[in-house]
Amino acid sequence: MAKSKTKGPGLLLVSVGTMLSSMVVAGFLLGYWVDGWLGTPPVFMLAFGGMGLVGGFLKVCKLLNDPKMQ
Amino acid sequence: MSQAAEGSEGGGTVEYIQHHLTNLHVGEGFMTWNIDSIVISILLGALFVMVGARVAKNATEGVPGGFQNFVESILEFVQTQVKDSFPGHHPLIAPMALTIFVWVWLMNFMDLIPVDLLPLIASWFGIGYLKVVPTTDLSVPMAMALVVFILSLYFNLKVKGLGGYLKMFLFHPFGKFAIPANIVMTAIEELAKPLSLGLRLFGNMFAGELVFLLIALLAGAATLGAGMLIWFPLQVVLDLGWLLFHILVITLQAFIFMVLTIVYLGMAHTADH
Repeated sequence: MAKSKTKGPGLLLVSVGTMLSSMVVAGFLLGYWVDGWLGTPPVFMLAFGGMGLVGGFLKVCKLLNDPKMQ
Repeated sequence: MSQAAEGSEGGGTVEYIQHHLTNLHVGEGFMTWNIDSIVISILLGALFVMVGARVAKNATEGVPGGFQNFVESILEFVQTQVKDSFPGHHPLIAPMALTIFVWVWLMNFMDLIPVDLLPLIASWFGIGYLKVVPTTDLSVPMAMALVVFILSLYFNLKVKGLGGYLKMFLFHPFGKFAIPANIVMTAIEELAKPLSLGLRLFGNMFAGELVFLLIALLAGAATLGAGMLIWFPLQVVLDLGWLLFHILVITLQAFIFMVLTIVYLGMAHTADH
């Protein structure tokens, strides 16, 4: 089981590139909905988009530095 | 190719590409039903089920024949992936992974059929538009990704419980001192998973289809005048090259979609995130 636990998440590296971009898109989308809900465009769209970018970078760094992925 | 010859200006080329990228649809806006994607994907699903049932019926316990051997190797391959990527056991995962892999592969495979063939046949029956590759229609990959998202939500709630799942939302990336940021960040992260899953498949298949259309346009131009025929050998070489390369792309995309589904569901199925 120990071996199987390492190989699975390792395949997540395949999606590192799209994960970064889709985090930004997801942030923008979420912000767009919140803006539509609160009537405050484009505050949350920009803020959440920025958070998506930062979160995406953090996630990519975390994935790449994870010893389980090596 | 005949449709490409309709316009001699650049407008004809644009029209040709737009024609091929338009779905046969009814309804407008949010309630648009892309009939071609629905029918083709259901037919391919039925083909998969029928072939599977036939192989299962004729399966022998001894040395398997050619096709049974092939099906068994696919089954074994998917099973290995599930064992490697999914911690624990759930009876739904392996059949679902197999369905995703084969179904997505079959839908992608429609890309390898000559781009003008099926729309041309459809036009004989009075069907104006036909987009034969369901995965080049954004609705199909996103619908599959949505199902994966709902399943991962279900596993999260089942394994972690409502409290545990909410706790992940509240304290996940930055600890307990940044709860509002944590909620937004985790929501973005959860939303990004199905988005990346669907958009990757759609993007790769759409781009592949577009390249096929552009290659088809080379000989389409040849019907305008004999002078353009010098492009014909180039078209054959390019088409063959892209076709061979695309066999890898469609298999890889089906494989990635399957593996990431298993990994995401596996992440949802483990207690610690």
